[in-house]
Amino acid sequence: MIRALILLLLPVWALADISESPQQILESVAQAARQQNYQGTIVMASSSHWQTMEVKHAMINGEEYERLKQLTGASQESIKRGAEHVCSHAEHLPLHRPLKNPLRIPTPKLDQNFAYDFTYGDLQRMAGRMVQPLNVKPYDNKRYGLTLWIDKKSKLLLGVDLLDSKQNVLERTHYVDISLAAELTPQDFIPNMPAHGVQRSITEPEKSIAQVGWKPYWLPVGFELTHALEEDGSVRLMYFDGITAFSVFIDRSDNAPALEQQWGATAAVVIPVAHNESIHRVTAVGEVPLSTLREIVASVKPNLVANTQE
Amino acid sequence: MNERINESLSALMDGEADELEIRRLLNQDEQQQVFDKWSKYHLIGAVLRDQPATTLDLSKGVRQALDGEPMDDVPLVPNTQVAQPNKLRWLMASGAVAASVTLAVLVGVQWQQNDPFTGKQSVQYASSMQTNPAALNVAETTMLSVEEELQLKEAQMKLQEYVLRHNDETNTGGAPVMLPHARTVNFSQGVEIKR
Repeated sequence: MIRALILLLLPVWALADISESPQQILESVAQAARQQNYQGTIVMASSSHWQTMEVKHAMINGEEYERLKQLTGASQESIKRGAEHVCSHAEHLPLHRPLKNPLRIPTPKLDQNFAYDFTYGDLQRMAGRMVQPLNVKPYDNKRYGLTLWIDKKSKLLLGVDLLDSKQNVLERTHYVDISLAAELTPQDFIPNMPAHGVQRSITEPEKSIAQVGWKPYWLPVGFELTHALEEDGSVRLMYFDGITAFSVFIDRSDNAPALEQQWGATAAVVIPVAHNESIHRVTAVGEVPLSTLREIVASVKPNLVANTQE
Repeated sequence: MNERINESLSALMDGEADELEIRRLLNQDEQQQVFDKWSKYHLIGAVLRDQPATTLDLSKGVRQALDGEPMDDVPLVPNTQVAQPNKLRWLMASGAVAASVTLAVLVGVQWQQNDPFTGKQSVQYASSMQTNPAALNVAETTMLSVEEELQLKEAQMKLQEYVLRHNDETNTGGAPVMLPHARTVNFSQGVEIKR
């Protein structure tokens, strides 16, 4: 009888937080990852790849400590100790960046969230804990959907599913085990391999300008320009819809081949475009489907407004 | 297929099919024909609405990309702005074959993969990884000169630079992306070249 009553009440409990907006929920998730102590193992898997990462995170004397260790593929480790950030790897890794915890989300900006529908699923278990699924479903098929698995008690993000327009899981990233009672000390954040310091590649966001020489004349609904830059004839644009983003780069290149590539959720499409008897390389990069990027690069043309103002 | 099935398909396309018509379509013996017809109707609809045909089946393309398979034929860019081949002479190295096959082709790009079990990196050439015989033929017949290989390498480096720059800029807070994209940083997969 009691068990039946619990089962009956479970969905009500699951829906208890619906009064919170998606912005509030995701702010709590971002904050939990910054402020709590935890250690565990994350698996990132798609139909053809999988990777694992060991995570340790702690607040020690008011400072944030984080250690990320790649357990598959090339040996790599990133460690943050307060303001200090170091990276170590056993072999030379050209063009690499420090590891990031894929289950730490930034503080969200959902002002433009009309491109997505947010719904809550029934409580489930992940890594031995109760999680509340938050479904983020786009209204169109120009971007990916997500299911965020949020720990009911701690608000930590324990998993993310990347979904296509038919709700098929394309990529799954989740903790297979996590301990929230981790007693971590500064000794747990000392690199085992020779490490080098990490410098932020962009210290200050560059000032955006109102009009640049090129722009895409087609965008999926909900994407808005976050910044536009132009220097020496090269143009950089970034668009954001509250959940995902893509960048467009245009530069001169007489020998630019057409390229396509995808790394998990991130894809890139390059096409050469002829203009004024020269070839421009149009590149779109972002966390959207390749087909969306193809449509975007195909619509990139010289900006009539900017060129009229010159 | 009989006329009634065509009408039911048409009604379904317009969102006006009733339960009986949907059951009729589902019970139709020649399911492949129904599917083909359905695809054609969508293609016609996309053309009439001035939409690219690439929007027809996104999930398939994404799955193929994630699986590392060659993408199906998609017109590269339906736009007259695309640079003419005479500006990209080397891209036409096997143009005649490529035009007839019109597949995304991997050519001679070094392909590094991490073995998830041993952690060792293996280096292979893309042409040996093709499973599609047509694509394999194209890859094998393509010979790039030293100059062309340098151009390709430069293009790949530039693309990686742009991906990293995009990654950096989303991290600085301008666009707080919610999607996990930790794997973009190591570039452990090859690059597809479209012809």
